[in-house]
Amino acid sequence: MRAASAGLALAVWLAAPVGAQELGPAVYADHCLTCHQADGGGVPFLQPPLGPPEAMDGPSLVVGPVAPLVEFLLLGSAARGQAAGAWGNDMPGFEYLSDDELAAVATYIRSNFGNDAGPVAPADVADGRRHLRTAGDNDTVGAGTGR
Amino acid sequence: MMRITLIAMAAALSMSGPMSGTALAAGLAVDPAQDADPDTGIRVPAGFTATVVADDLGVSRHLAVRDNGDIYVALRRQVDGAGIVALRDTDGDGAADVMERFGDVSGTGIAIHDGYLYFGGDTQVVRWRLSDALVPDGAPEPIAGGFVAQRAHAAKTLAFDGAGHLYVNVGVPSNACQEKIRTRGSPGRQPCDELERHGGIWQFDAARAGQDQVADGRLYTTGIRHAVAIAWNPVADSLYLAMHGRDQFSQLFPEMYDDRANAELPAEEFHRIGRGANLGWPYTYYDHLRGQRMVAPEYGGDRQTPADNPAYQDPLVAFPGHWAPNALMFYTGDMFPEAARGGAFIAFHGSWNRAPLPQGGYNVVFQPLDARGDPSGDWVVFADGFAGADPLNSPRDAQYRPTGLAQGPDGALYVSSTVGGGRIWRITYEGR
Repeated sequence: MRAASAGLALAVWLAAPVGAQELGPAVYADHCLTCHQADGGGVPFLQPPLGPPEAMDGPSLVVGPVAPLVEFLLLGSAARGQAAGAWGNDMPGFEYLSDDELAAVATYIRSNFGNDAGPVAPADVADGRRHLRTAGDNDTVGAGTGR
Repeated sequence: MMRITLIAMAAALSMSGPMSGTALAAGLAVDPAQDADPDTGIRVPAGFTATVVADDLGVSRHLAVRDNGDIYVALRRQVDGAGIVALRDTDGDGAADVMERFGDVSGTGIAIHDGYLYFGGDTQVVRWRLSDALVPDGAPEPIAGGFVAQRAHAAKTLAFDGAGHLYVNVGVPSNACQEKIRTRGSPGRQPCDELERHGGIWQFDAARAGQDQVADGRLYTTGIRHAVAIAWNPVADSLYLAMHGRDQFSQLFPEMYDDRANAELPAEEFHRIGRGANLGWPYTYYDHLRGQRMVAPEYGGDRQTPADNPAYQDPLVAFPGHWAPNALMFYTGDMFPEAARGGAFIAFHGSWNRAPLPQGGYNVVFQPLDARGDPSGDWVVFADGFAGADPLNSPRDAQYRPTGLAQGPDGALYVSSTVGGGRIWRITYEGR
């Protein structure tokens, strides 16, 4: 089932360039929307908003440099350590998603919800995985097999 | 069981507006044809009046009202270095005209018992002896501590029986005790180690200083995900609670649950709790649409398999999914109509987990109970309009979210809101 849907996503990706624009919102709806909400507004006290930058409680990880955002998506909030009391819920790591999927959803959140930051490429995600493995602080970051 | 099923099914069909067919509680239901009062932001039944007691208090959680009418509100985040707001209405118009802040604490639980103001911080319960003054003197006395610090479900809420015991809710740090937190397809830990220090109600001596959860606390009830709403029912002489059910069925197990199933499931469970009771978290959840307790998908469930462990009790009433019961109060006053007496008011903070479907809850519900503490009819919506939008898509757009309930000495009902700056309402009845 999982392999089939990943295969479908890949097929969509290969079939038409516009697929890349559809993959981002699809991954967001599947993995992010319940917690961060359709409008990216998050849930007070539990999950942070993803934009716009002026709504954030401090610097926005979403529209900042690509590498820290990729690392956060791969490891989730628990692995990064979070200021106590800031937000109630942990975010899981999404290292099981593919480079294409993570790049697409990162690009989607950086260009929606009042955000206007540049795209993230699959190679950025691959770099992030490699960096985490090299750093040796997380040997579970394998190649994502997709959703 | 059949009755619970019918109630639940009716509830699922009618997400806003009162239940039908309950003559007993009919006078305690809002009229869907009426609009919310623009001055107070909420809608109450005919014959009732809501008044804004105070505004802009901060992130207001539970509240307690003293026998002289003074009000104490717990803040989740300190304002000006204080975590409790004390309010007094000196001219009797219902609006507070004296406000003081005190207490180097922050949290959710607050209660008045035996001449003391108890406060439930996230890792410790303390108390102050009340005097004639609005603000008690000096440093608080630690009563029960040693709770594990946690971010999720950290609120320590309080109840007292008539036999000298304090009950403290200790929520679980996760959602469903998965090996990897909130991760798709991740199995549940077997056994769930979180239940050693979390996921239950712990009983303490209400008056003994310096108790520790492990050394002195007694695990009274287990298998509870998070029961912010706990209260002692003096009529049934028993502890009751309403539990926050687990989140994210469709995100974690999309092959079993679609968005609609995720929005409805699981039920928010309302229970009478005896010593040794087990509500089945994280191994099970209650499906109010089927009227059955089910095996959780983290533990081999497939959405179709009922849980066959008789140790896990079924709820007295099953409320719609994700409504987030944050306060429970048994009405003992004589201001409200006769039908209110001995019944339960439950404040539903409101959902986030129903997305992408519209959110639900954001109301105060009344559940009629008989002299034994059993449900004696269908629940009705007693107050709503808090969200300020219908349908409400994102919790961030909610104007108010009811979080605390308390009864005044004259029988008025007080309601607090976490968001919207922190507002307190007083609801009175003149409709006789």
